[in-house]
Amino acid sequence: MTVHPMWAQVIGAFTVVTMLSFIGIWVWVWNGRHKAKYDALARMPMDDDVIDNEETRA
Amino acid sequence: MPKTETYNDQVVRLFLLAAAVWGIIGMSVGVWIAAELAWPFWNFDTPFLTFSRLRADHTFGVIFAFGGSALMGTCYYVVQRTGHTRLALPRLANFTFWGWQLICVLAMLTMPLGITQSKEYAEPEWFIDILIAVVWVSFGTVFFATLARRRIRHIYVANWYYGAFIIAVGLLHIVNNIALPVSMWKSYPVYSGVVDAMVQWWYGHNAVAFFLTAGFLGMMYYFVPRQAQQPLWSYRFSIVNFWALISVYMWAGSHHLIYTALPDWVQSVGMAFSLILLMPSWGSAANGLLTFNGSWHKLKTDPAAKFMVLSLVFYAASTFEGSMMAIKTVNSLSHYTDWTVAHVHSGAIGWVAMITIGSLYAMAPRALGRPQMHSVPAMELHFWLHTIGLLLYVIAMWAAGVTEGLMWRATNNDGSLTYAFIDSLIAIKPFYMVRWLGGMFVLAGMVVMAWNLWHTAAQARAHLITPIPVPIPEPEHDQTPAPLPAVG
Repeated sequence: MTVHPMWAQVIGAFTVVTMLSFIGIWVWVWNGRHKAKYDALARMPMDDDVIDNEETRA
Repeated sequence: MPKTETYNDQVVRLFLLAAAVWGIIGMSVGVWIAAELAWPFWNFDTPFLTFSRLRADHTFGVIFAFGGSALMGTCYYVVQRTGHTRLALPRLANFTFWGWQLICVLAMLTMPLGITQSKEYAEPEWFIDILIAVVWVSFGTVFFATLARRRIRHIYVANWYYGAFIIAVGLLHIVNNIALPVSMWKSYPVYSGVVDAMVQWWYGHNAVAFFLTAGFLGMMYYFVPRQAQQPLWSYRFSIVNFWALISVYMWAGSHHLIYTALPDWVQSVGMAFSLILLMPSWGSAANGLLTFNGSWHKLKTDPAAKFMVLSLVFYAASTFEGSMMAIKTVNSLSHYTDWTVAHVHSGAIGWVAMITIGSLYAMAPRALGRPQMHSVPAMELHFWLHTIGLLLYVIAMWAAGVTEGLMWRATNNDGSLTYAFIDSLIAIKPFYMVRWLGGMFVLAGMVVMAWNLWHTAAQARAHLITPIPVPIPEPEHDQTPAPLPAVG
């Protein structure tokens, strides 16, 4: 089976687009304005634990 | 506060019970068919008790009945806690519970009778497949409707994984099961030949990706920080890993068809993506393990934390192994041998079952209105039974797999095969016995867990549970729409 040469261009373009998206996600998540929000989210499962423990002790 | 909204843990408790029951059923069938391989008389020359018929009951029982019930139960628990809201559409949520149990019972009863599509991990016939689609869409509706009424503006990362799990599994299930029914008990797939094989393994591998990985990572990203009592090591890294994992996994399925009639370039694509996949897999494993920084001392006293840490170690180990096995030269040794069985069970008993058990031990006391599990020593016993069983199982199957691979490829100077197939069967028989013993240990651990859960649920069984109130957060200044008011 032969593959049409056009596909080489499509594959090349797709590689560049996905690579840029990947780098873009890194840049986006490391943007400083998200820091406070992400720090709060990272603690969310712990906060829930405290509330539940108070309930179960009651 | 005049009115108090409470979490809906009723349906969570039902799924918890179902997971404990199906875990024992699915693993009992596994132990039975492991015994058949070591001592064939265990099939009693009865068609519906043969390995070929019961194997699907084992895989369906542990993946979809046990794993599925645990995933749906924890999903309903986590989406409420991380959104500070009560579960939406409670009647539909109850329907997903009873519907899923009906599906599991129908599948487990029909497959041993030979009513099967013969597609691995998608054996149930068309009428069960339709029921699965209906229940799955309902599950997604409850989940996304609950997300829509969340009071926390940002969607916690565990929900992203649960969301990807729900969407992708629905897509995979429907596409792979498009078939023409010719009678109540028989249908034929619309695909044929190598296209059928590729669609099947696109489904099959993504069942691993989105059912056995994304879903259980949802569990991991919530219950690991909670049990460690530490913030997630890097929230940012979890986002990068999420997008990398879901975009790479979809393309790896063809590594199941290396050295088949599938075009060679498609096999190479599968191999390349499988190697890339190692990075997001290890990223999540590292994120989970590093979350324990500052809480490693908990491993001395908390069996649930032990389950979680070992599950992450096995997640890292089995994803590394999977990437290696997707390399064509390695695959030429491992394919069709028990190495594949070792790999899948290091992922299933090591990663999936251990993160599930750890999460159930973390969730059960809260959902059952108790400060902790009924018996911590029983959890400890379960941990050691499970770990010993896991190690016996995977070491025996690794040894058997490499033995088979080497014996099958051995040739004499004149090019003829050194060993007949029966020689390799005789060589691995001791490993098959060890594998059965390992399975017995894992099953015994599950019975201990069921006993422990039963006693932890004493108050729930007596209907003495006070529902847990939803903490209503202050609205953020720019939050639109505004958080919902509390409902009783």
